[in-house]
Amino acid sequence: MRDNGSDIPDELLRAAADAAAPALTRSAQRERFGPPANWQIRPGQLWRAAWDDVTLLVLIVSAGPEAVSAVPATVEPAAEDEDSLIVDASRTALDEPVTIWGGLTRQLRLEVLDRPVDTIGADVAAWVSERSGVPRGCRAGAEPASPFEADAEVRAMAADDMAYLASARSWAAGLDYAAAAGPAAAAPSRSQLVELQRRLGRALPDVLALVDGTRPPTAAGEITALREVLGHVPHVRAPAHGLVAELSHPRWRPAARAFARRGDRSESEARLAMAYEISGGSMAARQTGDQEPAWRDRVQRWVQAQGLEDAGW
Amino acid sequence: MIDAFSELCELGYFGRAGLELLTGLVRQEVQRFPVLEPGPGWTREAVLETVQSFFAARGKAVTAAVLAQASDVDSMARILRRSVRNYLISEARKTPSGAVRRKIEDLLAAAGEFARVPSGQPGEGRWHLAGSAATPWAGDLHPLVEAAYAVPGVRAVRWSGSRRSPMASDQALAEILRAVLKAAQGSMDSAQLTAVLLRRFPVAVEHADAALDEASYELAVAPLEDRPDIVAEVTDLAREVYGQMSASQRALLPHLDKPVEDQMEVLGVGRTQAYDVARRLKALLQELIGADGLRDEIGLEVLRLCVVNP
Repeated sequence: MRDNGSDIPDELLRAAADAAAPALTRSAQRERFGPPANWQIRPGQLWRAAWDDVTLLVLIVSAGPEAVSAVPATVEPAAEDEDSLIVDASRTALDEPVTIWGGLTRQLRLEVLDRPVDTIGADVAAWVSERSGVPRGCRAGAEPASPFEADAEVRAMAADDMAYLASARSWAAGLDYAAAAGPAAAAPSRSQLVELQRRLGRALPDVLALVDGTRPPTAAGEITALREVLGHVPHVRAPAHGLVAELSHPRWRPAARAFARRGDRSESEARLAMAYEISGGSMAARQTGDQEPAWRDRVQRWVQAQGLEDAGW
Repeated sequence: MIDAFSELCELGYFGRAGLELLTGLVRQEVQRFPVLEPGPGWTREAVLETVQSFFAARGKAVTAAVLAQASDVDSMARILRRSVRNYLISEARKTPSGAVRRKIEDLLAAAGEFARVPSGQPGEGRWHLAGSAATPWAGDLHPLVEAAYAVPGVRAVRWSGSRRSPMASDQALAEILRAVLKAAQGSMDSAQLTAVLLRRFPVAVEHADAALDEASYELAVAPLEDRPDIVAEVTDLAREVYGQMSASQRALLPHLDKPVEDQMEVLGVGRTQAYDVARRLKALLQELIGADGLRDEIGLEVLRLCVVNP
């Protein structure tokens, strides 16, 4: 039996609908985990990790301020080895057994995490690190009968993907914290500021941000103008560590992606641009010696002001 | 028109766009498995039938896996392709079963230590160890495959030119059947015993693999007869061994003793996968060539074939 416009048989359409995973739809996930700004990373959660064209499910074993300890989790094809734990379908929102590859632990930077998928349980995370006893609703994996079994291939792919994710270069890797402000540059004269405004076609606040290193010059014309008018290119202050850590959190990844699309940038470039914009608004606080701002609130306000809080989710 | 990934995220299952994507991938992947090709070839109907079988076997797991793991339509396609390939490999493994099954049935019938469950009893027609329990076995094949592997001293037989998979001597096969039925502690039918033996002798099913790109794959699987530039003589056995090797294995053999970084480059895969392919190749060669006196000569000849026609 065929439908108009496509020859996909009705029975296949029905079989597909019967295989549904309603707990994993966008709306179900939104309801379960809330908006991205509310996301927390906890041991025992399953997250999707994504970097370049590698995507992988991982179980969070432990979570730190800049990285997590994680192991890969696979569903299809079914595979296992003697270092793995098979979590029963009843314990997961995937409604399928999930293999936790306990022998493939890696440290992953926060920015490779993409979104939460499920909460399997802290006892499973504890099994990975302590191996004290098989948690309820799970069984220990068995060694494959031969090297020709698919298990070895699945494991190998998961291991390589984890290695790739673990090697992802931080978006903040190029920031130079070691260099101090350098020899104090003379404050620019009024005529220099006027000249810069004229040459760059920018308002005074924009020009000041370039001059005092709050914002890095991004266009060739800017670098040339600064060099010719001031005699040097101002040293760019790296954004505060706290801000970098906050912006690396996956809760801001949907916003970073949307911001990237807006400016036709890569995700890493977008995060860097966000850091400088948010940082620029906080320079005054730092200069007057106030306490380190609550970066999460600052980022949240900036994201809302940009209309990015519901982006891509 | 909505893309397949957005459709899946909204619905929670494969809709029309998703199934079209899947069908396209299946159509591409089945080309790598000539043993699965039906008589009239890969018509749209035949491809759709394969899609339906795939979905019946793996649909629920694949739906969950893609929803959980994919981030866009490209990653969705990559995940689906891997699943489809894995499924087709497992289907291909079943195809040499006809000859193997007949061999098993002949052995079971000939040896007095095996008996059949009489009609009227549960599991009638199944095989069991004479004098032992005959209750029908059911369960996981895994421990039975392990029992098959545990039988010591089994060597592949040097066959005489046909392209059938190498099995062991009749005596060794009978020992394996005995060990399997003992482990089962009950009766099994010949289809189940065949499944166990195919997993014990996976050389029969290394038809296709996933590691090489299209161009390298095509070159590697081209039969020797199609390469008139090759004039060297080869021994029958080396040629047969070569014929049993997959495309990746032929490409890898000349580099088997080199650092894994070289192997990664040859295969175009990551480190762990390169180790995995190398380990399987070594196991395969051990299985096919064994430890007899001519091993070195055969090995060299196979290597030469791989270098000349990688």
